[in-house]
Amino acid sequence: MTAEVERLLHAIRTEATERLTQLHFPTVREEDWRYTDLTPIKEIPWQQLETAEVVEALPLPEADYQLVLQNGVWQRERSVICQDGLCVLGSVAGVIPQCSSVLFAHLGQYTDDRDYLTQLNSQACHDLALIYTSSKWEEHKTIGLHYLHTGHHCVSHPRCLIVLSPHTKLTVVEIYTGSAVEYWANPVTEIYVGEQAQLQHIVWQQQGRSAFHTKTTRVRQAKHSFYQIQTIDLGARLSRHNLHIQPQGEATTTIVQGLVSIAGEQLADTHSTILHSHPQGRSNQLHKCILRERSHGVFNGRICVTKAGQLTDASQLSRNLLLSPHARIDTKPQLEIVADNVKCSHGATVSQLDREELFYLQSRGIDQTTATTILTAAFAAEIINSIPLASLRELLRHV
Amino acid sequence: MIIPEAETLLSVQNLTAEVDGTPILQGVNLEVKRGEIHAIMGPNGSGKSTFSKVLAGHPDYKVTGGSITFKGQNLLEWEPEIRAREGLFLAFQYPLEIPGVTNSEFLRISCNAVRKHRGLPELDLLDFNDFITEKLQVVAMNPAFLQRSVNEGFSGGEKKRNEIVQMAVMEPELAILDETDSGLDIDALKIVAAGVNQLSNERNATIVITHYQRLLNYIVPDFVHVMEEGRIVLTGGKELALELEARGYDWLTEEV
Repeated sequence: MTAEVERLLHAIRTEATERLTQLHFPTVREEDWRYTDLTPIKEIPWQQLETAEVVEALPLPEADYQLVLQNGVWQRERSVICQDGLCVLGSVAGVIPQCSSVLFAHLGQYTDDRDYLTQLNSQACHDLALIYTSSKWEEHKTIGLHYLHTGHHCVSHPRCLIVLSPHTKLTVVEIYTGSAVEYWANPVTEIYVGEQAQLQHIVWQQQGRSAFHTKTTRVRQAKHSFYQIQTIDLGARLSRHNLHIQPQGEATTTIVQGLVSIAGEQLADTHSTILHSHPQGRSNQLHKCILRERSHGVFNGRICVTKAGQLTDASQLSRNLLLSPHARIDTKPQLEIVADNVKCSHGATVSQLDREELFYLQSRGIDQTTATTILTAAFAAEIINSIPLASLRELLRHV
Repeated sequence: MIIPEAETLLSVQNLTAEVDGTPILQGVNLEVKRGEIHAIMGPNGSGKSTFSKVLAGHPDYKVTGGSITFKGQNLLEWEPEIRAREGLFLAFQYPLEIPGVTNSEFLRISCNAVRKHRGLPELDLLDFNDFITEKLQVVAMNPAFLQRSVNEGFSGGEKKRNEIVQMAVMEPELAILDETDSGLDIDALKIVAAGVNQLSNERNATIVITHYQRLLNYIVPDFVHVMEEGRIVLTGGKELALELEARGYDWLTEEV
């Protein structure tokens, strides 16, 4: 690692340490954390440990390159890296000078100084993964980012920076998985999509069922850029995704799709903000929850259109399927519009399986359990079918 | 066709049923033997559709009295899927759209559920492909429909044809066609009717529920029953349908 990168990371850690003294662990007394109680996380004496145990990565055959991080530590021998016009690095230790300027320009620039979880991540930032396309890069590759976790009461704070130069294209798949023990992952992913660049971003969260997962994704979009994020939340005992997308220029396109499918006592919380502060931005958000048994879904989707965001076209829909009388959904679409010439819509639905559809399938010889599985998969299909990777579509067909 | 000494497939005796506490069926009696085609006609609200839903086991319809015997067994003890696997098929008046489930997947799961129950080997993708290609021909259905979501964006006629494809796949012993002619133009009606006729044989039976006589020009019944106020009030041959067409239903109330 060059001395200047070392200094940059040191500065980020020091600043975070200072900020943390002014901040406190989120509690349910705050509006943003009303339904998601982090008390169990707060009470566990977490430790940062590398373990010898090898956690299997989930398959992603389409990946051209892949980074494997276990408990936040880059696994060089299990990764396929590239440092050409496309830079895929699990650690900035070996970063070439050209890429280090990218770190200086973007790292820590889009995060929230007042967010406790982000600052916790920054405080632990001794290294990070970097994905960067240079402006000469012309291909469209797929990169798998495997975050593996294990170790009882182990915490990790993985950090990733994704920067797309103007006119470049990339598909990035973040995959979170881990063992059955009680661990905590607190990743932060920062993303910059350059002018007319296109990023397809998929986040597949399949953490162990005892895990805590608190993720922050911060995205900035330059003018005329395209950003699509599809999040699939299946695992973890408690998961929270703070997603923040902000265009930095006009005529950006943003597509946000979230699918949550949980059971037992699981809780999956998505808080998203799309901040339209430039003209002619388009955003389309669809969030779907499938909730079984005593699981609990939380969705808070803010769409803000500032005075400068004229001719914004934003739509948002939250659809929820409750498969048990004990499942619970708290959904809150929030539109905050200052500009006067915009087209915005939002809506939320909560439903159970349609009795008539169930009967139709039963009348064709299909038993109720299979019929329920089929109809649930059909509910998810709208999102699953638009995932650009066939292997993932197939794997997630019966979530 | 009426076959002497044919086995009774369905025997309904003094059947009463209600929905949401409102009595609809008030003592239905009907006997259907193998090989026969029965038409049930009657004005709107007479209980025809309720009768078909009760036979298929819709959970909203509560049987309050009487009995239904199918192939000598108590039909009412069976869940809807068991009735289907045992050979009772209902073609819906309003087939449901199920976005996200492809028609081919739906048909294959249905086909294999039925086959498994009947002790037949399940069909894999390849075998099913051959099997379904043949079944599509019954109603001249374009194979492109297999890749679309079940009934999603289908026209009225396409939905009804899809019902007959499902019938062909499930090879029922008793098929109940609930207002299969509604929403069909004459060409589609002929295709659907020809499909039903092709599937009829001396081992199975069909109940055609219809408001109009038109369909019965193409699916010729052995018996025509008139249902009114939840009862079958009159039974006759195919000529009864023509009489109803000419005179309407009102004269029945006066004469019966």
